[in-house]
Amino acid sequence: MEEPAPQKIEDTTPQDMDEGELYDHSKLNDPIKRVEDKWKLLPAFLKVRGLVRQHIDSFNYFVNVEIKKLMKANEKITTDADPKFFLKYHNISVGRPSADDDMNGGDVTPHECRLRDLTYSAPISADIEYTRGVQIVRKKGVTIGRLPIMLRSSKCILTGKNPDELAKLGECSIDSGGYFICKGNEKVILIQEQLSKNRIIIELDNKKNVCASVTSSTEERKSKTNVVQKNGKLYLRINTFTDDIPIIVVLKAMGMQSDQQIISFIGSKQDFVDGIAASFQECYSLEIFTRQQALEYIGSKIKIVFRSPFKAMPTNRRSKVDEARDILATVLLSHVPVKNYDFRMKYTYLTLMIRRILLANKDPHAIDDKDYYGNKRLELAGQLLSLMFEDLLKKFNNELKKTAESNFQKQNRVQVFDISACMTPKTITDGFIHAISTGNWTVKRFKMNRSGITQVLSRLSFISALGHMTRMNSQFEKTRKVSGPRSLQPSQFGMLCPADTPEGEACGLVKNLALMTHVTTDDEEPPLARLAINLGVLEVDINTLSGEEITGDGGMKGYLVFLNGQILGIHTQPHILARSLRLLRRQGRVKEFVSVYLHDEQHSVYIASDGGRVCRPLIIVDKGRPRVTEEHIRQLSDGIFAFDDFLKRGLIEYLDVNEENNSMIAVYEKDIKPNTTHLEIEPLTVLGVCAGLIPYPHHNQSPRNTYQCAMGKQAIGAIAYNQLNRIDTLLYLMVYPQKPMVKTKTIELTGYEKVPAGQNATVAVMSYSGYDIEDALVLNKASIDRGFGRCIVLKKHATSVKKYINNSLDRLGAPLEENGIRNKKHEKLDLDGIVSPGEQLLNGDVYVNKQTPKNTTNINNNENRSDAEFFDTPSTWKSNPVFADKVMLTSTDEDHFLIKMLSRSTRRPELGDKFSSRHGQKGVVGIIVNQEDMPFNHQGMCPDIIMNPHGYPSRMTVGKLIELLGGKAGVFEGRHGYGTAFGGDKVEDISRVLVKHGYNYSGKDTLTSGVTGETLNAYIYFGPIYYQKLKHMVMDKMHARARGPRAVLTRQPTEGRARNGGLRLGEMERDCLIAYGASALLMERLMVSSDQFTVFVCKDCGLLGYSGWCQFCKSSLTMARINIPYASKLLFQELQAMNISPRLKLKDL
Amino acid sequence: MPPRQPQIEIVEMKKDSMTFILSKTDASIANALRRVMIAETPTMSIDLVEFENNTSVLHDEFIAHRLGLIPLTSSRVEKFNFTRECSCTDNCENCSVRFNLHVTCTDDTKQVTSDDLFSTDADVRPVHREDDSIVIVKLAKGQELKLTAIAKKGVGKEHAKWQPTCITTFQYDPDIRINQNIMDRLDEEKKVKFANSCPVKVFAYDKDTRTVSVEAASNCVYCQECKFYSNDIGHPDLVHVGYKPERYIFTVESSGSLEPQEIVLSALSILKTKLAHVHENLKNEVDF
Repeated sequence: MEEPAPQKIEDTTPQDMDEGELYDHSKLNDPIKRVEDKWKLLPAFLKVRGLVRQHIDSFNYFVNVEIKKLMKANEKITTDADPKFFLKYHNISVGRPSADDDMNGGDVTPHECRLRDLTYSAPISADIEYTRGVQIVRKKGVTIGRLPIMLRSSKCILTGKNPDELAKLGECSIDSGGYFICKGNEKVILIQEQLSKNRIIIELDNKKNVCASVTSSTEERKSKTNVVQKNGKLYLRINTFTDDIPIIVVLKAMGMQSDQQIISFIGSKQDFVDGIAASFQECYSLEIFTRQQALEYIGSKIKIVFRSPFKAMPTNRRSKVDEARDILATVLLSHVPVKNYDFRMKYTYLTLMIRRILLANKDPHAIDDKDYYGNKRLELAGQLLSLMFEDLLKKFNNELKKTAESNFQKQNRVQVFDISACMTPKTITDGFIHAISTGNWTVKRFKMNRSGITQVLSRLSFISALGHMTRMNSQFEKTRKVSGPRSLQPSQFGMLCPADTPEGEACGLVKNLALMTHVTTDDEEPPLARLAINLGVLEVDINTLSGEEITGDGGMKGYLVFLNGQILGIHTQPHILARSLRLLRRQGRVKEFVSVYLHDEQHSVYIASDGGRVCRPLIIVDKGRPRVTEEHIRQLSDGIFAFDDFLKRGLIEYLDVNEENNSMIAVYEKDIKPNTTHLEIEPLTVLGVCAGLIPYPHHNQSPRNTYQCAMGKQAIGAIAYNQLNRIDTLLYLMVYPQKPMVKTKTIELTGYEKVPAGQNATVAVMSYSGYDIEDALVLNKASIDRGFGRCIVLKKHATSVKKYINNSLDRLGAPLEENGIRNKKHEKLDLDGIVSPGEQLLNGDVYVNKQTPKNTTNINNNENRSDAEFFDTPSTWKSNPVFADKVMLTSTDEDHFLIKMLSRSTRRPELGDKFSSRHGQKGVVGIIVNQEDMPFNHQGMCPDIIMNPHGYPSRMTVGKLIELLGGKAGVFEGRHGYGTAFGGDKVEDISRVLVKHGYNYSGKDTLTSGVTGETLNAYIYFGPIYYQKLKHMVMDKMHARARGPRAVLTRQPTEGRARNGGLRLGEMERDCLIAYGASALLMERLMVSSDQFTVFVCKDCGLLGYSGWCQFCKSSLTMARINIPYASKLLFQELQAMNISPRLKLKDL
Repeated sequence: MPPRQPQIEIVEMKKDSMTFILSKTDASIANALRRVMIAETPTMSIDLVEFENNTSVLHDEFIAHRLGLIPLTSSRVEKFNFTRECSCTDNCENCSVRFNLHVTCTDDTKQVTSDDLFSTDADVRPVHREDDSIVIVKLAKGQELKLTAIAKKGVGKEHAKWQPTCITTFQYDPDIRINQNIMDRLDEEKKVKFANSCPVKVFAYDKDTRTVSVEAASNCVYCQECKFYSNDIGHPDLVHVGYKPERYIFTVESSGSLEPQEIVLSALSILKTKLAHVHENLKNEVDF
């Protein structure tokens, strides 16, 4: 796992270094007592943190901290038009979620938003101070925009409510929150994975040369700096320069005076001197010796930016030299601060980059692994929203400024200009809503244009919604065929689920967090820097350190100390520094998520407090003993301790990926060695939420677990406690969902048991009838009759009643009646023109009898419109029969009257419906067999499902075999079995239970054929396995057509089931017919049954004519009548339209 | 071969289950009897439900399905016609029974059970045993369920709700014989090990007589463990595990709609009718 090279252990675990002598080594060999039930820390962890804590924490941080900082950074608006004018924000806060209308006194619940297609948002209000004429006015609580609120965040009304209160608000108590409701849609902002910012990355460019790159990112600016090698010489590459610039020139331009100084900063050892010599040579051949010369050289390479002609050119144009100096100060490595053009920090950093390149030239191990997870940062909802907010705020301020300027330019103003009246919340509100509902994140300042950031929360099953919240998207291109970023990295251990990733193009790019992973939020830097200095870090900033001291080459024993990627200084006793910082963290003096990482190869100590690092809690082990004892666990069970107390008392701590490299982590107590520093809380936490459902996953072939992760999300079951109050576009529910017989700890922790998705089916593993080949299942008809696999499908059908510009309105017409007899289509309608709930809708029935005014543009004062002024635009049912379950009437915030009809149909399993066990073994129903034909055992039990044994050998899903065994034992014992990953009931114990109840220990039974009454000649593996019904059902897919609609343009049959399309005879089928020589059939399929068209062709000129007349020859004598596909006729005409004349040469046969 | 007379020997008779041994007949006959009991013994079950008001959490189809699965007493099922064979157009007293259910919850919660189903025919009503009636739906305060249900005669072949049985099974009577000659030659350790090799304790070792005997043959699940062990010690003929020919131990467990003996008798008479039909048709065809 995360262990450093063995000989370095003494170095990297300083706590052991001096304490090693203090205890008795002989006692180390004693077996370490197991801390029973240390897994109880896991529910305690989830109780305080929850499964989607990372989202909520991130949002809370944004809403409570970050938003204030952003406001501070953009607090003042001034204008050149009136120097006295200003607008200043003082305080900013996010209020309670509310709706614009007064339907419920302003307050709004998330569920109301879902139903009414509203956005669950809260006003952002600011205290402002501004000038009105000559007065200075202060206003409090001015709404500048509305922010969509994350459910269960600190601003959400659901936070802190108990299950009863939640139920009253129409909310499900086991729903995780962490998503937004935007125009009635539940939207998740996916976690975005990125390469970490402000760190030096040594990599190989496409010419296999070592180069160093830094992506700098600060609040104001983002830039990328590269140091590259060409022919053994080093160059600086930045976008703002037209050309690569020799690195020595840059260093000289930054004020490094002598070559000796440069060498001392890069490294005075011979290797470094040799490596940089060629670059020096180049600098001299360019005849650059002084700073001025260097700046002039750089100035000549600046890209000329063409400003738009409308903007006035700055009057005081600076010289090239000034400009070059500016670029070096602000663009180059923009995260390293430069004050008063003192470049010392910056050239220290740049020389370090050079040094690293030269090192990597000699030693390829020094090249960084881009896929290493310590180099990754996760961007969460909070960060993304703060980016968006700053952009929107700038836009808002600019708009205000423009309004102010245009107002000041007016010559004679009647009223005194009051800017607060111009502060419309629309800019910010709409910006947020647009971003979240489309998923397009466009921040012009950073040239950021990302799409697919948000997704509609998948509510197919409870686990799919939960799994969606832990999902993570990588910024990597999906089309590139590189395996590196896709493959499982050892450093992802414990942080990301190794099983849960999709198959196909997004494989390995879309990942899921493991159960205990936490993603950090930003933490204050200055106190940490101060602390490090107090602990003996010598600052680079102060001009006291020489190059040798920094590089450590001249016999100096200093380690560089970095804080969030910036050089802080050097420390002569890095182990002591790291140890002290860790001790302070365990004492709670430093935030728990600060990480300290000692990198011996790079002679560096990295301290990180930035946001987006993944970390996980571990039990601290010292002197070979875990700090958490049974006593602690008892206190935890008794409720005296909470998880946070374990943190506060320094019993457990969070480690991020980098710091894991400095530790020795034991999985079990028995593995603890003298140099062990940490102990896993529970090995099952390496898996994520979806993989946690699989019983005995450690016995399965790994791709099977991956398949199940994808399928668990398609399983039909209960989705939430409020499922029957929801009106979703599409909702699948199971009639009798069951808890799985074999469960896992994850199942208990996630609440899957409360909203399960599947049923325990008694399975006989045998072949039967031949309708079970290729993974097809045999189903017992009686089981289906009794409710096995039965499901409910609820669908939303929305109609809006619009208001038109001339104030005319759509209306609902009463059902038509003639002589007291209802119109056939209107039979199901209530008197209000909407379907009566409970009615069955058949094909052709009208369910909303809407009428639209004929005149929607001209203003017509006729208030009482007659029927003649409307035409019918009814919603008609066109599908399989369903029941109208619910009708909802409401209005959206856009003043639209909204009618939502929920249709319901109950389905029993039929031939072709898809089922799957929890081991990636899916199959369709091949045949449904009567109960009396099913085999039965001596007790008379017959299977619900017969599964073909050929499913096992090649897939090696041993977990499924053990699940059956465990389930069977559980049935007889009257309890649930456990199949927890890396644990669970042992097969030996299970077998003992089976034998106790008079069954074969191997789970095999003697069955008797239901058809003949003879005993089967083999023992049949027989018992319960949890089966999931998947959403793919034949009823939604089955399709056939004889005649039907055709596309307008080509006159070929339409495509797809939804359009009642034809079934395509594709290229490969065509090839078969050609090979077979069935030309008549080919002709019929491709032309006669598709788009046959009769055209007239002139035999003379070969052009198409019309109705026996050739327009070209002006003759009707030479016309022939032929049948061709309409598409080819269309082609001829389109060719003619582009001045190409296709001519047909006709011949008599 | 002399003509055989199948025999029935009743082993156990309870209110809702019975065990009997059918002997001197073939597996085909035994299986035919089993199949008829499951699939073709007619009972009454709710088949049509008309909802007047349903404000419960479960929707109409859900409740209708649950109602259908409630067993109804069907001892007098003969007096009804199958609806499809009845002379009426829709349904009538001769082919159906009407049930009424009307429950309104005035307390905090209320369970609607099979006791709330009121039948129009005293012979056909929900099976009720002691005080566990079948829950149909749980109502919250203010919710109401009002419906009429029509029960019809049917067979299990059409829908499992018409099955009169929970379990109908037969098993072969195990025939386990120890070759005492070989057994006597074994040492005590092997004898004990042999007796313990059976996971379901078919054999017993008597310490006093130092013999192994077949104690509970009916426990046998034919797992062959004893055979494996005797093979291991090199005496493959030590024990014989087989079936007694032509003996079938039947277990019939009723769902409550019919008494177990009624199920068997009904099944037998159906079998008889079927055979009579065959006989009839054969006679007409061959025309002796």
